[in-house]
Amino acid sequence: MHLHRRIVALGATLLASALTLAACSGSSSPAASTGGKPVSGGVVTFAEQPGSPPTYIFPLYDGANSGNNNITYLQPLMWLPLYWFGHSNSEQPTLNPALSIANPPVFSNGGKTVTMTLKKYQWSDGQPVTARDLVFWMNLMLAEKNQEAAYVPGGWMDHVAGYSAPTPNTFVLRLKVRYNPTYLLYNGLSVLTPIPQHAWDKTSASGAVGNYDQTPAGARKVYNFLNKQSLSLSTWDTNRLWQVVDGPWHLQPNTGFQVTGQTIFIPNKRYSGPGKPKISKFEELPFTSAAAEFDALQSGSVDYGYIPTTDIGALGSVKSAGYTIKPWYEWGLTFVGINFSNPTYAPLENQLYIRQAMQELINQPQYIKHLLLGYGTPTYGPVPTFPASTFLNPKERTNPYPYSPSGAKSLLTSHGWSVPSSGAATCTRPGTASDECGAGIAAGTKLSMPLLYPSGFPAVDDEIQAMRSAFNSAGIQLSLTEAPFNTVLSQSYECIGKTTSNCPSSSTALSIISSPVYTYVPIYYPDGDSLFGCGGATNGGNYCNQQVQGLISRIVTGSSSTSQAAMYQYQIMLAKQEPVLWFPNSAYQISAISPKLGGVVAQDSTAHIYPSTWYLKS
Amino acid sequence: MKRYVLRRSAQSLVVLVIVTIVVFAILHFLPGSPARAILGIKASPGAIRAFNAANGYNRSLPVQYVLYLDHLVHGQLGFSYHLDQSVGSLLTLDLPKSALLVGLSYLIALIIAVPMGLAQALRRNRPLDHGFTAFSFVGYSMPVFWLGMLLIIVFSVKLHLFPAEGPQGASVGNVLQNPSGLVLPVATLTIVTVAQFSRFMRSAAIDTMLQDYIRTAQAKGVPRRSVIIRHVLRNSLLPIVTLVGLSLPGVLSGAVVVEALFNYPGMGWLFWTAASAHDYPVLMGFTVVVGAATVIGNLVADLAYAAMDPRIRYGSR
Repeated sequence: MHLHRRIVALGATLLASALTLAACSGSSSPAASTGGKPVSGGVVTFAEQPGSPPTYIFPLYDGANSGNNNITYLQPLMWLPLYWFGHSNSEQPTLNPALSIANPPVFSNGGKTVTMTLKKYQWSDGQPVTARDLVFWMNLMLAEKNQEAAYVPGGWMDHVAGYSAPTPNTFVLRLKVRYNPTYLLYNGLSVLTPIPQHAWDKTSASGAVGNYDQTPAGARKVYNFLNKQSLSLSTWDTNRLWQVVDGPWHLQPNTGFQVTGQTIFIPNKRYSGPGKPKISKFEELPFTSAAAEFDALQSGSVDYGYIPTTDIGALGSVKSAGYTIKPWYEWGLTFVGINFSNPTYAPLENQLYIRQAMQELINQPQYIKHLLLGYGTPTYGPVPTFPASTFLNPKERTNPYPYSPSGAKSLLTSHGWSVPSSGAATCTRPGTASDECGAGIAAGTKLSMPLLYPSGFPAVDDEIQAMRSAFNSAGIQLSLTEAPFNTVLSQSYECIGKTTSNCPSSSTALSIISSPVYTYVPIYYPDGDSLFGCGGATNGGNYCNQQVQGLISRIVTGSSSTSQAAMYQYQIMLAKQEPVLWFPNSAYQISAISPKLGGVVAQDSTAHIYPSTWYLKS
Repeated sequence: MKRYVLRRSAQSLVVLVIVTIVVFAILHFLPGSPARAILGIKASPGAIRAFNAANGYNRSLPVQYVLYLDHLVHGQLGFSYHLDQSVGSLLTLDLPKSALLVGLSYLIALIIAVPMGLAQALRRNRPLDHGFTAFSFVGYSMPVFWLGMLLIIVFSVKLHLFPAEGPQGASVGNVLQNPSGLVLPVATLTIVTVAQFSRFMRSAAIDTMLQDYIRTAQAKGVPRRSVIIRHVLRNSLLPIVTLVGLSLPGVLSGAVVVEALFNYPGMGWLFWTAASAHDYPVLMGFTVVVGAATVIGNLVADLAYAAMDPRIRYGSR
């Protein structure tokens, strides 16, 4: 045999051997069969969002760890909040009394005292869940409130007069000011979570459990200890602290968590709440990319996954494999932010008629139908239109500014703009009269604005391109800049708290960050205080309207009935005032649910998951 | 030789410091802030200020850099505020995984490409040469993500022979417990690398075969097998050695596309997510490690050159 043949044969043999050996060592199987009756036990796999592994297990989390990867997919499966929001059988982002550890709060003393009675729950080590566990939570939270994701300076946490546990199952919270009970329940009490004082009240791993939390200094030490333990991701499944739970699940000891994000839950045998788990294991799987997740879904290794928007064309093949397709919408809003502090563009943006014209050029129904392929919901104001909740004024279900290029053009021409057939309109009648361009707009000013949007979101890109085309046809020229998501996020907030005198003219004028931009999770009441209130913590565009501010104040501090009325007025006013440009809300994910998985009735808009209600079919 | 190695090491250190300065500056001049990227849309200005203070971002850039160097000298690479882990532990986990993935693919590629290129040279312009050349061109020009997707569709989705994902384990030990998961990602990288290496090998072997000493050896009646192995193969491997040396940074820096496609988080994926999240400590840690690998790779290639070619001697004047 010639040498070169041997060489070739050697190479080929090596490659073939490698493939054969590997083939023998394992294989994956396709999706299981359809139909069948519920069976007890089995493993259900659930796909985490790409690049979002759990990073924080301690339920008292800060802003950096407030993503769904931690606060809906991880912590609440093990530590139940005092009040559970969301439902397994509907999208409503409302209080779920059945899954709440406490009975609904009772308000007294003019609304300044709140009494909460705990139901009979127990920890996985057999100890009862008591009001002392809530006091423990409060002590840690208030000692380190700056670390708390839900903390807003000047908010309810700054107005706590005291709290106590007069009986083992009664927790009393006293406030210095009166709040709208619904607001306080949804935005304040919603963050309270009993944590096992009898196991966690310690300052070191080897130290004894005590009552360290009863002084602020001691509480800080306990917080720091638990925070440090939480940041030790590689020890989550071996750390005995995290095995003391009151929820239906706990991490599988020793092999329940890998720092890559693979998380394995097994049922808490002492779970004392409703809805005991039917499956024997629940696995959350991490993915580096949506494409990797979709490959895994197609190969049958994911029971509850999603179809990336870039692969929406493959929807038919996934359906034909028996998967159920369900769009999952979050309790949130999508909008194009307006920077009212940009010195160059603020004079244009301050004109309500210009904002209205821009809104009339956003064709939400068509974007949803053609660009989001039906997986979207319209946004007409500060309260999400889906799910249609009790917070939503029925009038907000209708767009006050439906798509109308001619209407938009008419608004501009009637205010002194000369609109060409294509491109930027020119101000020809400067001044502040009702038929003039408006304050700060000089003659000859071109109606042109920059818009910043994120790269890597094909649907958003399509929407923005369509929007530019429509704007251009009506005399509003948009110059588009695409940038990575985090760059857009940072630049959209570059001028928060600034005025036109100290906000750089290079800052963005219009920007869209993502879809949805803002979610009302885990503070569920859509009051808009921080988003649209004057000086609000997340009011990136610095919108400020005293009339709106008055309504927000009534929503936050009024009685239940006056607050609800104010909420209705507030949302209609903002729908018309356009503090932002309302934009379609795309689905958080287009879920694909395996035919072998049962019990998935609805997808909670608060992004909670309910594996306890899921089961495998025979 | 010792003096040469010492001199090159000192030069490498200087290069590394310069690289860290440049990368540090570029990172901090990027638009956007890590605080907003990490804390998200709901972060209050107070929370942003607290984050910046906690991470030293409220200080001047030179001070930040000096502090970084100080920590580096003391063996502290920093803490990833995006992944809530120390940079050291992230690199400790991800670097071996990438080294395994990319290193294994290079090893297999070498085992295949060297005999393949040699065979092509020996059978120059014959059907075998044309066939392998066609394979090389196809492999070389095919985007990695496309090749990977094809392999997934065929071998995972259709035939169910191999998993669509790489092994899901945080450590190399866990990864090795599921070798079948490595097949498709390794094959993807290998095919592309074979295409590259075999072209170099073919070209080098053809050049070598035209040398006088080959003709002399043949004229002296040295058996063909000995000529090929002792003279052609050994001398043709020099450019491959250079390639392998220069590939060392690639072994450590991972393969972002393959890692993302096959759900195999390694160094490439770590860098990508860190860059997306403005996770400066991870990006700097990555830079230091890969920068060091680059200079070491160059040094190793030079030394290997000398070992393979007795005519090359370093350090002597």
